Amino acid sequence: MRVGQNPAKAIDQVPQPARVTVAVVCYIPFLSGYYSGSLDVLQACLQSIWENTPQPYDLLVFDNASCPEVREYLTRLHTDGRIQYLILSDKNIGKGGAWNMIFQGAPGEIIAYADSDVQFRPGWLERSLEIIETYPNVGMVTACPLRTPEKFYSSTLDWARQETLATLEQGQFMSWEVFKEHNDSLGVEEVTAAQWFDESHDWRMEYRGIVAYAGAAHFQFTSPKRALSPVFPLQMDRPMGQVRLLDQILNEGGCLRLNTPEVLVRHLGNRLIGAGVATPAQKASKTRTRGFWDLPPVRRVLMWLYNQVFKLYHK
Amino acid sequence: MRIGQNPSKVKGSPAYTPARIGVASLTYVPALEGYFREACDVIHVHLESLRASLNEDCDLCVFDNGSCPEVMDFLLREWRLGKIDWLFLSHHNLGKNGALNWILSSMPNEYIVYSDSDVFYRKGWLESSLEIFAAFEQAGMVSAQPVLFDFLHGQGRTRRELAAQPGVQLTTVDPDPQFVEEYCDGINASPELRQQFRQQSLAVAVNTASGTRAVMSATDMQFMLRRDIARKMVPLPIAGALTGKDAIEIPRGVEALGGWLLSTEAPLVWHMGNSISGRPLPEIEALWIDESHQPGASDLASKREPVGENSGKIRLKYRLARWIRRSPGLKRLVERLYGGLFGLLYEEQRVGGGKP
Repeated sequence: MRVGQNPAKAIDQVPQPARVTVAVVCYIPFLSGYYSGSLDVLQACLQSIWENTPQPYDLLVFDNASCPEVREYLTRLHTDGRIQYLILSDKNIGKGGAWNMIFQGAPGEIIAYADSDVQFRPGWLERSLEIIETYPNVGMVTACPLRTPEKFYSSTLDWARQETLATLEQGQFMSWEVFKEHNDSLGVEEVTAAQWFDESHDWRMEYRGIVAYAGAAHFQFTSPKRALSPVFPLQMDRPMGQVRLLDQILNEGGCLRLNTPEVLVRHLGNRLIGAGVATPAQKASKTRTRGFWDLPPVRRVLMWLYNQVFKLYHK
Repeated sequence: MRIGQNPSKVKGSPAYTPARIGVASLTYVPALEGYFREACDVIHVHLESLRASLNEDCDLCVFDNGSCPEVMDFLLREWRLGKIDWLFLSHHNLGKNGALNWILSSMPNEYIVYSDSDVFYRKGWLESSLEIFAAFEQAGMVSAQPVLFDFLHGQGRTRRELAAQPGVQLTTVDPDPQFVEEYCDGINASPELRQQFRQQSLAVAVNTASGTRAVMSATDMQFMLRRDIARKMVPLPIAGALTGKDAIEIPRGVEALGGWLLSTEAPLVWHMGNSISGRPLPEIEALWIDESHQPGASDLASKREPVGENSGKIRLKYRLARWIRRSPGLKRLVERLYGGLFGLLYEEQRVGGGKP
């Protein structure tokens, strides 16, 4: 039965959410194999947000069923008030499933999303907001230059061609070093990256004095919530790999997909190699001569077993 | 840099499918003192009764609106035990409507059930609520307790619209006196209000074809909505943490979207309030006795096994996966095996094959 009156009824003011919600999704099922350096990467990601975001924001972390070490780390940060909203999921509902929950629920007018392997640099939010506030109908802005498939930003090019106040140029504006850095983070071999670099180009535009490149990526982007609301929920049928739907739907809806010419965020991947910090395991790692284990049939069997073990664990 | 291939990207990895029903419970306990002295016990009973009452797999979300460390610890423990599917921890109190804005916009389930965390669930509440949705086409907000209080003070549209509905008959019934006392205890009703409720009848709509009956009112304490209605209702205005003004926004929002406010004729949920004492105490005791025999939501979830083509093979994998999850030694062994395989495939080679 109720005894007395609930004192919460006397609270006539509740804190207002910040204009910007910075949302990070993480999934680190265990700290070995592919994920052995992932907790270090997550720590670097969050640290870079705290250090390089002077604007008011709420930090939201969606944990997609990570291992106890990661959960303990995140709950400690939440208790300390460094994470304002922490969502702990008992099962991995996929990146799309997590997006469906956070983009529809997050209270910020602007949502800045990042995978948990992204490092932020000074000015990332300021420049992203500058583009959102200057260009019309912006769907998403990634805070680093990227070359992405043109079919996902055709509406951006159409707008720039028609807008008399905008200039549009095609060329190799991004330096090889910047292109290589991102591809290194994805584990792409230098030869392949060089080939991609030569075969692709950038679209640079200027509108009301603000320069941006065409295209955006879903590992990190900042969006007005009003642009995302009609897109969600996305229909997803596997944990990762189908997030391109967001790019596609925004482009088809006529929203601009842009990126900054400056490198203001960096994809770290699953290890901190090259980010100025190396874990003891990485330091101990030695280059192995290719032998029996690298024979294609052996690798195929190992790969099959590797995937089966993960699937079993993931269920 | 990225080394190796992210195993989550492997084709054929299992995808998440939300359960048809998602239940969201809201907690706010600033300190285990005074009004909130028994809050942890109340929340515990609330969650146990909910789990024991479910005969179908449901996703359970607990939204904590900035509670004290003791309550957070309790919730984290429940979550670690797999008894909560999503634990949402807000560092500050967003208000009940602030939390509802999150819940109603983000729960992925076809039906979303909202519940205060001091509600006791009885068996049959879900089935009866769904029966009302099936029998009354425009059922918008369905509570599992006959609601004696008219939140909209006679200004609602439900009664008027149901009166004009073909195939629906309106009638009145006197509520069970025991229920009225339970209801009044739950809200700590004043003697005057208690007297008023004792003399009040319930306005009931009857679907003449199916015979399904529903009381024409609903409560913000516990209700069920279809996801499409829920999405259109948000954002709800926020006047405070738990104000009466905010509470009205929910039924008002449902009616504005053309939904009817309905509730079950039988009291299938009970508002416990802040103290576990009073008449239905034996029900709570029975809950603990029955606990070992009742499948909870998480048990149901873990028992959910695929059916259909190749189901035998898949079932075997599920069982194996469950076995691994439950056995820490085996889990460690699998992790070690996985780590070893990763090392052979990628670790020392330091070259991955990822395409952006």
